[in-house]
Amino acid sequence: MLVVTRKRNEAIVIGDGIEVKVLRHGRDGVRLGITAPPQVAVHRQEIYDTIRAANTSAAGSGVPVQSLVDRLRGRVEPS
Amino acid sequence: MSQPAPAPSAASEPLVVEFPSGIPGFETCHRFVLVASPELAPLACLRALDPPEASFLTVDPRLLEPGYDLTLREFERARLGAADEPLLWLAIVSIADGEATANLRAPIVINPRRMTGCQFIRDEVEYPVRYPLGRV
Repeated sequence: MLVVTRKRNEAIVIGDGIEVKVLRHGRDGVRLGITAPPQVAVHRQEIYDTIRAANTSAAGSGVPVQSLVDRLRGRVEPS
Repeated sequence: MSQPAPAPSAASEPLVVEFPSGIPGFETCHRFVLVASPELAPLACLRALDPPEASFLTVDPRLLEPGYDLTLREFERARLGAADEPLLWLAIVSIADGEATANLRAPIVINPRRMTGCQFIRDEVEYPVRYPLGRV
């Protein structure tokens, strides 16, 4: 792991077009500003991990469950 | 804000949708087909064509939460190559221990015009990852 020391308003640049800047730091945490190209997704790690786990647990549940289909049909508003 | 796209019609052919980054946990899955059938409706099946060929049940989040916010950030629209055309929104359904839930926090959004999709994670909106759909 690369470890660098940065002061407020100092940044690091990663690859082509990704910049991470320290906006503020204090006892409660560090506030970062991230600039990245639109195709690069930036997420807080804990929520990303939560979504990955949710996707993994949902995969393979592709077998239709009739009771669920029936219940959802009850929610469809008549057009 | 643009109008949401209608749900896929029952008679539609399987549509191949490109997911340039895959989805979290399935980053190697770049091509999916969306299968809608009368038996499944209002669910639709999103199936990966690339290994590990994961398969997901999905539902339109507005069916669960009629006021579901369909706003995308500018860079998210850019990732879908979307101007203001209608987009297709899908919440992934999970069934575990007989309980069905839908992920409203990280919807799949598809641009039907470009056949490009992405799973977006909503940071600022507190939609649940496991919205309860009841026992099945």
